[in-house]
Amino acid sequence: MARTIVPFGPQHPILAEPVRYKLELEEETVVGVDFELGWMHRGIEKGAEQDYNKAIFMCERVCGICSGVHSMTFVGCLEKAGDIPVPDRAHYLRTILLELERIHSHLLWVGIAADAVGFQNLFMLTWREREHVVDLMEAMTGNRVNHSYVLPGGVRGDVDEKMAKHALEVLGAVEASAKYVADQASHDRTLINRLKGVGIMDKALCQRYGVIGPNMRGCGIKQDCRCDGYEAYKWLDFEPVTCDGGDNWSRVLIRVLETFQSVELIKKCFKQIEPGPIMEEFKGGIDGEAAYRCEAPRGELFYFIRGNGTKSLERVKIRAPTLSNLMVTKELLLGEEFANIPVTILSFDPCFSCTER
Amino acid sequence: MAEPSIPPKPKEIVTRTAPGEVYDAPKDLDEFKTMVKKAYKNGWRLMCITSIDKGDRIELIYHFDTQKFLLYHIRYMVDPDVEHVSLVDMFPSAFVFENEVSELMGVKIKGIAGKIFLSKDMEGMHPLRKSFKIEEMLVKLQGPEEPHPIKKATKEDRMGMDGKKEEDLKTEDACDFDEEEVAAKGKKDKPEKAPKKKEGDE
Repeated sequence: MARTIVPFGPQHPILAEPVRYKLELEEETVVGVDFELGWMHRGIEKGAEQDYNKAIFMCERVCGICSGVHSMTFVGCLEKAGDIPVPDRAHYLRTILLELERIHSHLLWVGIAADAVGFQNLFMLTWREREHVVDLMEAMTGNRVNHSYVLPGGVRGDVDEKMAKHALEVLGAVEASAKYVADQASHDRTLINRLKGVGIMDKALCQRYGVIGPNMRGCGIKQDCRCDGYEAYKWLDFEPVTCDGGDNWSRVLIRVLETFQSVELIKKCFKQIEPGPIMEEFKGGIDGEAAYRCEAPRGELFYFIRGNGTKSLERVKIRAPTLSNLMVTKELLLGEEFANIPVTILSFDPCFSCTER
Repeated sequence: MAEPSIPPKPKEIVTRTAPGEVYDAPKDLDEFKTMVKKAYKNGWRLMCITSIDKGDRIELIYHFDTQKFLLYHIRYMVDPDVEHVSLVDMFPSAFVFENEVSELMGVKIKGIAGKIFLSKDMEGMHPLRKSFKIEEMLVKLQGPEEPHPIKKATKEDRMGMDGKKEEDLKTEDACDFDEEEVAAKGKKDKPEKAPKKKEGDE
């Protein structure tokens, strides 16, 4: 049968960032997949080989959506490599920021996914709720996106009781309306028909390709970096949520479930947090090397740094979760119908500024 | 006779680990292969490959997740000109990591083209090497005659003041302004704008 090669990207209405997939088709079925990267590479790893205080802000700009967890992981790496103590209250405040970011990222993604399948109403509803969460982050850190909140030894600002009360009120409202939206969406015939049973990734494929994050938990594998017990997660008793199925529908569902879990974790944080200092003064060089990982909204984020005793770093390695999740699309898209390709690619929550750094 | 000057001893780098985290350093390639095979048999996940420039040799660190929330690292020194083994057969996700190492650090790896992030013009250049110089790259990309000038940003550039002094900026954009002053300034501005409109109308 004659084969047709169809390019997907570098500019495609469904993706905000450039990537090119080369799809080989036999009639409507995909029989060959290849991808090309390189439009978003900015050389941040090289740029971060400098004064670590400045490099924090550079690492924060790897990604626009999960900027807080990038700075958090880099600072966590510095603290591990330089043996810097951190007060308990700072751990809790960091955890609150990370969880707020997860809610904002997941709601944003559910909106984009709804937009991709043509469900404009759901897109508007989720983005309205997301706006309240972003406002909360602004009240807490001073910035909507690049928070510049986490520093070696602590955090930049404190949360007083008034703000905590306000945050809990807002989160309650967000949870209630997110529940309503999730309820409406999970019984929607159009969404189910469009997403259920499409792009199925089984456990074996997922483990072979090293898929991580919500995509992995959507296949029923119970793994979460937060169980490592970094930051305040060691004091919050929780279990990772999972979904069976491994199709596009489970990848939507798992993110909705994780949003509710994040709200619960923030509530726990506010309940357990105790007054105290938020910052330990630290000056001097980093004289060690260390690897550190955090659970970003898209999966496990990994940093490795090596210092040489001075203020400037010798090497900073960043591995974003989206890079690990990229390879599996090469096998997953085979045998799919062409019309399902955009949604399946989107269901992995791709972020090419993270992937290429 | 003067004593020969002794170069300062490089500071020893401490490897800091979490409890249960292990760094292994195989002596030769065979040992490296058995370690990787062990990781594969145990069903561990390859997280990442870090490459570090050590002058004439490159240090590769293979990071594994042992699925019990622990990390396992294999540290191996390679000669960049000698072809290194690829792990793609065992870990398909190694494809992107190895391409990255090969392209940005210039390590030869069997069956890996090393073309993933950089443009075709930058072939043969490895930006993560310590010997990489941005001036050389610009000469290669733009020609030797008129390389793009590299201007170091001054404080004024960073603040986007276009040659204005810092004092001017303070008076213009001060946050705690007087409302009366602003109102007076607004009145002053109006007659300047008005004649321009007339010109346009004519």
